[in-house]
Amino acid sequence: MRFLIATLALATAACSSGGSTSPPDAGATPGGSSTAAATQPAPQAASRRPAPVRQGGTIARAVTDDALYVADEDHGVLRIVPLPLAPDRPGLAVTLPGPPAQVLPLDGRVLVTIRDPGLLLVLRPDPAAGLVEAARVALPLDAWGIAITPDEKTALVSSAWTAQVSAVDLDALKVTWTVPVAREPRGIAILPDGSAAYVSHLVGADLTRLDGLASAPTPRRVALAASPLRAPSGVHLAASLGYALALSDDGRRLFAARHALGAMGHAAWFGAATVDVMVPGRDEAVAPLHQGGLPVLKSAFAEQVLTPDSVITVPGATVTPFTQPRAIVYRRSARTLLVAAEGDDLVAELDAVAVDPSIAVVRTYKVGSQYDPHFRVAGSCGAPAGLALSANEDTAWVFCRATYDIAALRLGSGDPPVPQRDPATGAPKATPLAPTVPSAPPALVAPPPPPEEKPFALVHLANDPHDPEVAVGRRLFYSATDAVTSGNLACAGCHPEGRDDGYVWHEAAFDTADGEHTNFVGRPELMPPSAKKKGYPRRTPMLAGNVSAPGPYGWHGESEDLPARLKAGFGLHRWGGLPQGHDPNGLVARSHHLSVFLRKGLVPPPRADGAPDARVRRGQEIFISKEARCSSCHVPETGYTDRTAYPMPKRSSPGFDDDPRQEFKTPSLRFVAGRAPYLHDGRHRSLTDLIERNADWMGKTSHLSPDDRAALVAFLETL
Amino acid sequence: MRTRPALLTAAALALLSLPLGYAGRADALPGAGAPTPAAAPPATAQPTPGEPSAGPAAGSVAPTADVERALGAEPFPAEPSKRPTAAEWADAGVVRLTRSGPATAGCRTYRVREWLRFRCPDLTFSAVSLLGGRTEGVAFWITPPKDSDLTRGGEVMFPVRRGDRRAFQILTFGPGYDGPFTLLPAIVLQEQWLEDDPEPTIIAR
Repeated sequence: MRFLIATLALATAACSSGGSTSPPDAGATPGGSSTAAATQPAPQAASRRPAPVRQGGTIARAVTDDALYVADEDHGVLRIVPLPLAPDRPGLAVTLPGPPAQVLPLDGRVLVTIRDPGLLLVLRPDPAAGLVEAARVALPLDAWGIAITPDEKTALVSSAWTAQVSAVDLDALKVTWTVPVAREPRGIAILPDGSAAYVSHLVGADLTRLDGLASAPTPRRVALAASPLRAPSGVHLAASLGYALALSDDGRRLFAARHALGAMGHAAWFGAATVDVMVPGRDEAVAPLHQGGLPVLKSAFAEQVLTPDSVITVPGATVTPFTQPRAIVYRRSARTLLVAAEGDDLVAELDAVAVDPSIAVVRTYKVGSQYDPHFRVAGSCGAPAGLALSANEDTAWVFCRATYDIAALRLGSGDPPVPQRDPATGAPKATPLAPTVPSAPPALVAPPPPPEEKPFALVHLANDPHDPEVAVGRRLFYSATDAVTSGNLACAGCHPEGRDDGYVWHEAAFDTADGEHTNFVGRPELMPPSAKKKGYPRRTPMLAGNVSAPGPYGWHGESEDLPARLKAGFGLHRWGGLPQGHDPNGLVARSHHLSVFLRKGLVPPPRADGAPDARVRRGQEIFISKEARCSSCHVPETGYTDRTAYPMPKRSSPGFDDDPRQEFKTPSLRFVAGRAPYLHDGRHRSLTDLIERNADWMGKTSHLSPDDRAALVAFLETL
Repeated sequence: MRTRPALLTAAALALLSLPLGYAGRADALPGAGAPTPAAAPPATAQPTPGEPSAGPAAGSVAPTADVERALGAEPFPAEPSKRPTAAEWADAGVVRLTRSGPATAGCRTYRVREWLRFRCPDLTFSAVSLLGGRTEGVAFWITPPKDSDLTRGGEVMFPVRRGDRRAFQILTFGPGYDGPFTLLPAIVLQEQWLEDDPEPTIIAR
């Protein structure tokens, strides 16, 4: 019985009565809300079919193989899209009690994490509505990632903003334990024997390991340096964008897709996307750390043509073949990894048996299309955010979050064909050799695999939930393909979901082949040695919920309004200068669209309701007291900032140059609890540390008793 | 066709003129960072003095074997052995790497005991480097140019031993950020043999 197909046939018929040219929107749910109160538990099948995957995602294949589920966060719905994909069958949208993050189908049940309120929602099939709510389990706010144990009896859920991981008994539908972990836990991978789980984080390179899932485990931090082959000599690089983990089918390799901050490469101001491999259990990184002084040999002719930009001892050419990894799946049949690259609208297939899969590209699939001629962002399948594989693994479905499409990719089997050899010489025919006279440009001997596959099916699910201006801003925000907005890294690369990467960047003016410009770099080693600079510290600020004020913006309050700050950012966030010949009006248009999106499209983190307790009230008294003087600059009525720059007593920041401008604009304290480390140089790892070591640098806190300091911290955590 | 002595002479000349100073110079290039020197053993892109003259650094003479066998068809020795002699390489068998991408068409891998030579006689080698991992026994060879300034052909030699994690990068010329003669990666060779693995995994793409 193809239950879902029958359901969707009915529902789709209802949905498509307006004609296939009108894309459905979030309100297209037939039969009203399908999240009615729980009625009956999910029917137990005589022999339960195993879940297609044990990790959630923004897109997932139904157990019945006849539909895809999409957790459409921006529309607040779960979409049920019939298979095979057809442009005129976008399926139906099930309204949810809050924005979903991930979906994980089981036999007879579909699990969905809800960010606000924090929930694990259990849905069951319904002939009329597609899915209806069977149960809900309250979880810490910002429930995001989900994975299930091999026996499918327990689900682990990460709560991103509140930095916790919970276990849910799927039979009893109760939380069995919740443990605090590091900032922004996201992806979860449970070992095949169910003995342990690993959690990735949006901020930081370390993973969290949870041993013994039956009762509350003690979380352990597991160091896993990012992109060690691209690191400056002996440096353990930090990471961001740790949305996703994948395990090999035997559980002997764990793959962490993320961004390596400060990774080296040509013009790599921002670092590089990476997939880092670890051996679970031993928690040992597979890739060795790059060290100086490694063997290298150059041809005599290479010596003649080398320039200071030539990259030899770290992986060369383009920095990495993909940008802003957002999802990863393991393709068992090919022992490859598929990575959804949000920034450049593609899916990269990488060799999973490599030491460093990011330099073992099997092929890439370009899913984005219909690029805007002015803004150069995809009009179709922009910002891929989720991946699902067919049962036989010959098809991948990709959900694109900036344009709300699903693309279907026909995956290659193994490697692209090997070029034929010349029978006489044995030389490859399809790899033209360099000419004998080096005055003419030689053909590339062995180019990296180009994007050679495109979607064979595409379904547009919905239009942007906001107006067209926001829609353009959204596409600009996620896309790294527009050379005017930034240099190969989108806004979302440092401000994931409008939040922050927890990283302190280096701002410096230095010379490139493009002349001297002021840029951000991930590490000082990325600048030419001749610059002899370390840069000024610039801790990534959080945007979501913090950009409603008219202005001013910038570290020193130097930008009068948000569009002006964005225009300045277009120049800072790249290597060298803006593209020659760019249209200045284009900067205005981009900054306008992005400003609108930042204010309307970004969703601030969820906040806990509830009356403040005595300690928080005491903290508030201290905060607004004339003695502490916190509120004189962090004005509560205006988002806990007066937006004024004040000269601050000089304090050197180790690893950075001293900023000659000592006046810093008062930062907002909204959401301050969730965005460590603190200050422009990230010197304080926690609010407690900041207050303890403030030493009257800001306001006056040295007179406070330990209890009052704790109370002040408790109050700050509520903002 | 050159004779073997002629090749050896060319190799010796090339080695005398090329390798040792290069590692430091390359690593100091902007964009490649400024690594701490002496953090790793010195470059060994040439034969160790006193060792038998063999391997790629001793000359680019292709072994004659044609039958390709699985990489682990013969067990790897438990104890490290010395670098093979030229005579041993001449009789070396061809092995099939765990995986090879299309970029490696025309390349072959030869094995003697735990020693491998990855040889691409038709590829324009502009440079070759070890990106990370153990340096012991690693040697590179770039065939000196014959009819032009551009070299054609080169090799990477290394021992494969339990505990290894290595990555090599072979660069060629192509149009890119440095103009028509930008150094671009042609092949990345990656080796791993972790403690729990029954045999090594080596891929080239």
